[in-house]
Amino acid sequence: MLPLGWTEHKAPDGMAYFYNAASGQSSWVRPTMQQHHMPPPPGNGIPPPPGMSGYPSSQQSLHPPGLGPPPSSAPAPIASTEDAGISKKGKKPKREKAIKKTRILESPWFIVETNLENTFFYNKESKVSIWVPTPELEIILTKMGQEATEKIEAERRARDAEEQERLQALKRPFETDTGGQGDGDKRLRNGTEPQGTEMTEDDVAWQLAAMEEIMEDQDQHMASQDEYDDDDEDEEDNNAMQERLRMLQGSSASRAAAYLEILPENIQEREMAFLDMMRERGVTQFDTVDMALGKMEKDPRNRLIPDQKDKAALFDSFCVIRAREVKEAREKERQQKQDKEMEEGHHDRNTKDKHSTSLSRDSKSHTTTSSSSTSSASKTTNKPEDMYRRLMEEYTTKTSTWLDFMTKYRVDPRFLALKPGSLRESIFRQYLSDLKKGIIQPPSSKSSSSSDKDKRVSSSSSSNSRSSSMKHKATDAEIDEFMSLLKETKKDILYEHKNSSSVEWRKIKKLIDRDRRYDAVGSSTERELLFRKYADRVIQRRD
Amino acid sequence: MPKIKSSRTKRAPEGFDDIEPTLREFQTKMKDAENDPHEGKRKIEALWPIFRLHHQRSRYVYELYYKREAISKELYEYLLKQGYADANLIAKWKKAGYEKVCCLRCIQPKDTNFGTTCVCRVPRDKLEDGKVIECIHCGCRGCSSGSGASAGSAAARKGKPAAKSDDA
Repeated sequence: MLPLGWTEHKAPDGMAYFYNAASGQSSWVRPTMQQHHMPPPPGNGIPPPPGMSGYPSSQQSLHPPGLGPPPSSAPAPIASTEDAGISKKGKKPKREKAIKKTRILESPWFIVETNLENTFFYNKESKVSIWVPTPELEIILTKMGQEATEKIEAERRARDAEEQERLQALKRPFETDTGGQGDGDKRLRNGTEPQGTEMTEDDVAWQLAAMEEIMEDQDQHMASQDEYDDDDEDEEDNNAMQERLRMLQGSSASRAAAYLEILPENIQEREMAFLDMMRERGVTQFDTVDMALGKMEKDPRNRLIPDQKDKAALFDSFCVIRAREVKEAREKERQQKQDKEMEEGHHDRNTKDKHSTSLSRDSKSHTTTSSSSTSSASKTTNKPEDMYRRLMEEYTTKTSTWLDFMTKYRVDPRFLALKPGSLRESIFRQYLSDLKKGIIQPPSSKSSSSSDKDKRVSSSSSSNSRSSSMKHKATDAEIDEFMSLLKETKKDILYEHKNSSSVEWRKIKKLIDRDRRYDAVGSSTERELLFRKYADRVIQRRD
Repeated sequence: MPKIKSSRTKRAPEGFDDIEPTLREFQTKMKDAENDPHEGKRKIEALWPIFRLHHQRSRYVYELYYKREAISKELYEYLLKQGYADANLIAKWKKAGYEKVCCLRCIQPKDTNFGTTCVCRVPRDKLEDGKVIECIHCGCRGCSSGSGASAGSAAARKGKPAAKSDDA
């Protein structure tokens, strides 16, 4: 609790700070309690937080910390003009005095109104006066407000019940009497039984007035008719009246009363009602238990489940449900966006590019952004299998093997995207056999669709191993590719040759191993042969 | 652990804004507890609110991730890194029998004369009735899993009751 004169405010970054208007101190630290007995000085606009020199002091409503207003001066943010006005007139500033003190029910707190139109809260016990109610005080205040409304409702109900009784009393004489009063009776009946359920207070008042006129005539009759009370009829109509009143008022209090009546024993229903209440009251899965209970305090359905532990347990399960719902909702959203992307991709790729990037900016998930922003030709597919295929298309030739492919590209995300590891090999082998058979043309259009090659390929389609017996001789195109790779190693060859008389294939091999073109020539023996030839040529030329 | 956001710090993962107000509240409460004057309290008693708030804050994060699954793994790890929750304490909560442990000091046998755990770890029924224990480390009144209370009120049983009380 704040000592006197101190008020709590919120800085723009969310942290709370404390300001003492009298001394002009502002502090980040909550001040300790002292025992004083003084009403708070009148509040003057918003005091700035401590240590914030750049805080907008240019605004008129703000008061610089150095200039705390004297306790008895006139309030108002527009202090300057008022002061000027007062000093002009030469009047003494008014002394602030409490005009009215209303006690807040059952607590030491008072609401004090002063003659200078200020209202503050005063605790008689702790002698604390504050401008802004503390959370506890707020609760009490709301209770007070509730009780006040309840009182009003009760009064209204009592009034209506009274009027109702009068109606009954009136009806009885009409029922017994016939003839001339029949019309009046009908009129009354029609009036009291509204066509719809809309019986406004005006109607009630009007009817009351009408009732009173007639009642004056019927007073004697009423007295004699009391004996003819028909209790059942009374109650029925009473209940009907009550129902209409309820609908009239439409207050949650009466609804709650209805709830409590409906669910005395049924535990499941009560729990459902409790959960509904949590939903309605805006309890989120991010609340602590205390926060949640605080939100539900005001709701009468809170009383349905008396035990604190059960409440906490229900709240926990509610949180789980909510979290799941939120997740599912987000998943759905993402799915919809993905589908949208797919559709548009089929129509127009260009516009889809822009659209997908804008969508990806909007969508929260990163996977869709990454997949939609890949700059490969077919953007529509996000499936891991297709990505894997693309990886294969890029790096495999007819002479690749699974082992080499795997070792080289197992770190590639596209490789790893395809989840069951066993699938990867089978897909790869399938693809390879298709390639060799010529069913699928490799994407990098080499001139490799010659029939000679096919014949050669078909013989070795079954196995993918590098056993030289099964290997076919490389085509010219492939040799050229390999040569181009070798040419790049010319420098290394010469270097090696300088240091050691013989150039080792082993060493050079390591350098060019990773390159795509290395695989162009399938057979390792052939590769070495080619290398040898090239190396000799290079050395010869040099020499 | 730096809680101040500068231009160098990484942005918080998504979902942080939902829990940010609660975390901030914990922060202010912690500040108040730290700056409380020591009048009227025992020397050790002054530290109890700190432990209590620490437990509550870590509990909040733990529940959010493990029980309610309301935050993502990314956000959870971010919170741990930034010091919004104690990872070691949470690690204890994951173990059987330690679900409601109050603080790490109370299960440290090296801190006691006889190499046992703190008295607050004793289950209620083993303790003679009527004796209200407030352990010296953190003011806990019983944090064994069988003490018969939900996790929410476990913190309430440590130190002073009424977590929300603002009275000095």
